[in-house]
Amino acid sequence: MVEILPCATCGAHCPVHTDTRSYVDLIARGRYEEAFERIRERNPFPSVCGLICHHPCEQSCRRGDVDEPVALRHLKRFAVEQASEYRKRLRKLAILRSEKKVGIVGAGPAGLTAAADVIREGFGVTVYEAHSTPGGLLAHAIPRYRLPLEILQEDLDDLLALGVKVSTGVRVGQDISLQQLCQRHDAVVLATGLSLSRSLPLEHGEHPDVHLALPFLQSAATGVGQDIRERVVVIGGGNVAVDVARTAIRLGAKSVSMVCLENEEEMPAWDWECQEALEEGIAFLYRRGPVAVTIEQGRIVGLVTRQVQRVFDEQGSFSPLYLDDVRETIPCQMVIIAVGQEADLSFVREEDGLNKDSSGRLVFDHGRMSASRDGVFACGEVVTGPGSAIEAVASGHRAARAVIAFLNTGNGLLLDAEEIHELSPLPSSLIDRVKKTSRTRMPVLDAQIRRRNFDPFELGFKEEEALREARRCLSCAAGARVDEAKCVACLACLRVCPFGVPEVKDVACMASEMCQACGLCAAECPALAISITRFSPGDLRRRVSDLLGNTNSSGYKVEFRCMQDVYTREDLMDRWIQDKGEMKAVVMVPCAALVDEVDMMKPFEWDAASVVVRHCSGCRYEGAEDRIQKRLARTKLLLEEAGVGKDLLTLEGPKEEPAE
Amino acid sequence: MIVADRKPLDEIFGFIKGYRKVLILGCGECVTVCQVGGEKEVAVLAQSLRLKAKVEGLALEFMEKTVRRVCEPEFIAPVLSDLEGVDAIVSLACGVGVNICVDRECRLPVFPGVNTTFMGSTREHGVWEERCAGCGECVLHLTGGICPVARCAKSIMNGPCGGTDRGMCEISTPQRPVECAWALIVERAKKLGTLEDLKTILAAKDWSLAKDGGPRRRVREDLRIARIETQENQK
Repeated sequence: MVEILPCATCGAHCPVHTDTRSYVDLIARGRYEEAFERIRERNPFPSVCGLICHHPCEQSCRRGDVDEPVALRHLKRFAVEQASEYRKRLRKLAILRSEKKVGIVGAGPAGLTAAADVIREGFGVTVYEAHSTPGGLLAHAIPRYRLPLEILQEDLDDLLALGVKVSTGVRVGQDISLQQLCQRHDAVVLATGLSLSRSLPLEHGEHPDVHLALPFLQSAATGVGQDIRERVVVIGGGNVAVDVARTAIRLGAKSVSMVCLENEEEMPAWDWECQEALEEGIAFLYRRGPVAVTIEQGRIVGLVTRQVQRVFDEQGSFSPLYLDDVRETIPCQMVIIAVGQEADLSFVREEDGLNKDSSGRLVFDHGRMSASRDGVFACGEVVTGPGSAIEAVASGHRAARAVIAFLNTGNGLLLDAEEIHELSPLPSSLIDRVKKTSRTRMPVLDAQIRRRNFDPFELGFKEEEALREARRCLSCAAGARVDEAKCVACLACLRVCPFGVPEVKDVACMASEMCQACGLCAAECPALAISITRFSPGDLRRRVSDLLGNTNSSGYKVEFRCMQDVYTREDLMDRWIQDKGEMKAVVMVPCAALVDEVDMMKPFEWDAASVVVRHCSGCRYEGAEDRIQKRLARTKLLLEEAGVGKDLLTLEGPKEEPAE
Repeated sequence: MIVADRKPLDEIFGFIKGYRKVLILGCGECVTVCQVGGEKEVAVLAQSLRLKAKVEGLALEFMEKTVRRVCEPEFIAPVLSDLEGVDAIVSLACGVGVNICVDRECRLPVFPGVNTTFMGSTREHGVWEERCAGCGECVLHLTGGICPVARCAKSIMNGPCGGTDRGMCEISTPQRPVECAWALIVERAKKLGTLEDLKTILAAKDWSLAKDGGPRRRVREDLRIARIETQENQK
C-alpha cells in the first residue's frame, strides 16, 4: 500500500502549495539558502511574497489554535533576505531545446510565472508588456511602502536570467495585433490582468478631483506627481481601497476616510491591513453608500452618502439595500473610487477569433486553461477575477502545464482538479498540551513616521527573531511514522508520548494530525521501528562521523547541544571550537532527548576524551527532561561497564559559549 | 512475555574476547518488549563491546542482527546460513534462542547475553513483574486469578503464612517490595464474595507437571503434517 502523507495545512492552503513547513524547519536550523530554494521551488516571486503575500498559510496555521499562527510571511522574507547573494549564483540561462516559441501578453506575476515554466521546458518565450517595465501591478500599482521596486527586481532578475525576452512598451492591439502574435508564436498566453478600475455612477463624478484607484496608485507608484487635497475620501472596502487610502495619507492628505458599504466584519480588506491603516490615522466609515459628489464654486466640498441597510441578501449574494432618507455628507476635497477592477479586453478584435461571453469576458476553459482559439491560453486575474499575487502565480503554473503539453503533443491538456490530502485540524484535546509561545512581532516604522513617507514600513526580522519564530512551528505532518514490519506493539511509544498520539492495536499507529514531531517515541523504541519525518534517520550519527572523521587528534570533547537556545546561524552549525584550551566538537540536535545511548558512547570509540549533552533552558516537550536524565544515567553505567568511566559523560544546562 | 536481564558486560566480554568477529543476535518478540534484546539493545551492546574491546586493546569486530522471533526455526535458519567471517554469536534472545541456534546445528559457539528470568508482564514503563511459573497445572480458578505459585515466595497452596505483614511479604525490602500473594487472594475473594471458598484446603500440588518432571514437550497430533516419503528419504 502506498502511504499517502497528509499535507500540512500551511502548504495545503498556499495556492502554489509551497512546502512551508519544510522551509520553516530549515530556517530553524540556520540553513537559510536551502530554505530559500524550498520557497522558490514553486514560487518564482519569493521576494514579492515575503512582503505582500496575503499568506493563507498563516490563516490556516494550526498553531493559531494554540496561541497565534507562526509568522510565516515574515520568515519567508527573512530566508529570502539571507539568500540574496546566494540566489544570484543560481541564475542561469535556460537551455532551449525546441524551435517552438510562446508569446505571453502581460508581464505580471501570472504571465512571468508561465514564461519561466515554459522556458525551463526548452521553449523560447517572449513576453509583451504595455508598460515600460515588467512586473504588472506589482511594479505599477502596489504602493512602494509595501513593495519597494528593488525587491520586485530581485525576482524579475531571476526570471530574466532564464532568457525570457520581455518586449516592454508594446501594447497588443495597438502596436501588434493578437492575430499577428498568433502567427509569430506556436502558442499565446493572455495574462493581461485587471487593468481597468471600475467606476460608479456618481452625480458630479466627472469632476477632475474624482479619481479612479488604479491610475491614482500608478502615478504614485511610478513617482509621477499627484496633487493631493487636504481631505480625501476613498470609496471602497477592499484591499486596493486600503492601499489608496494609505497612499493618499503619505502623499500629504491631512485626513483620509474610507467609505464602505460593508460593516467592519463584512469588509473584504484584510483585517491586518485595516489595522495598519487605522494606526496611520485612516478613518473607516462603515455602511455608507455614495450618492453624489457635492461641488461648490467648482471645487469638491463633500461626498453625499446614504445609509446601507444590508449588503448581502439571505443567500449571501451582493444585493445592497439603502435607507435613502438617512443621508450624510462627508466633507472632502477629493474622492477616489476603489470599487474593483475589470479586464481591458479592447485589444481583442473580431478577426482574432476569440469569443467573449455576454458580459464581455473572455470565453475560457478552466480545465484546459485555454481561450476559444486553438493555441491561445490565458491565466491570472483576466480569467480568475481579482486575486492575490500568489494566486496569479498558481494560475501561471497551470497555464504553463497546458501550454507545454500543447507544444509537445499538439493537443490541449485537461488538467486534473487539484487534490490535496490536507492534515486535519489540531484536535481540541491537544490544544492545552502544546506549550504556548508568543508570536514574534515584526518591527515596523512608527505609524506617525511611516504615514508621511513611502519607506518600507516593515523592517524585517533579525536573525534571533527569525530563529525564535521558526521554532514555534508545530512541524505538522512531519512527525512519527511506524515501520509496521518492525513494530512489536510493545507500547513504549504510547507510554512516553507527551501528547497521547500513539494508538497501538496490531502495531503502533501515529495520528499525524496529533503528532508534534518531538521524537521522544523514536528514541525510546526498542525495535527502532519509528522514524520522524523531519529528522532523516541516521542523520545524527552521520554528522558526528563527518565531524570526528576529519580529525586525527584525540582527547577532545564532544558536545551534543540542543539548538533551541541558539540564536545565530554560526552557532547552529556542527563545528570544532576551542574551549578553555581544548578542542571541542559541537554537534547540534533539535532536542537533547533525541540523543540515544549509542550516540553518547560512539565518540569514545573515536578517541573523544569526554562527552557533554547540553539541554536547553526549557524543553517544549513535556517529559523530555526526564527522558534525557534517565538515558544519560544509563549510558554512564554502560560506559563504566565498558571501562571508559562514567564521569566522562555529563549533562549540562544552557550556557554562553566563549567564542574563539 | 518472557522477561530477561542483560548479563554484566564483563561476563559477556569474557565469552567472546578470544574471537575476531561476533554476531550480536537480537529477537523481535518478548525481549524487545522488555527492552533487553531488540534491535536497539543489540546496537547498545555492540557499542558497549566495541568500547570494551578498545579499552582492552583487542581487535574485535561486531555484526548486529535482529530476527522476528529467534525461537522459530524458519526465522533463524537464514541468519545461521549467512555468517560470513563470524566466529561466535552472542544471543540477546531468551534462553530458548541460544538453544534453538544449537538445535539448528549452528557450528559456532553461541553465548547468552541475557539471564532469562521469568514469565511476566509490564507493570509500568521500565518495570516488569513475574506472573506465571509454568507449573503445568493451573490453579488460578481457585485463587481469584492470582497465582500463588508464581507470586508467593514459598509457592504455598494454602496461605497466607506467618510472614505476611500488612499485605506485604516478609522478604520485602525497601528496594524490592513484594506483595503477599495470599493477602491479594484474600482481598480478591472478598470482592468476588468467595471468601468462604478459601476455607477449602487445597491438596498438595503435583510438581511433576512442572519443571520437576523433566523437560516438557507438547504434541498435537492433529496439527502435525504427514511426512511425504520421497526417494531421497527412503534412501
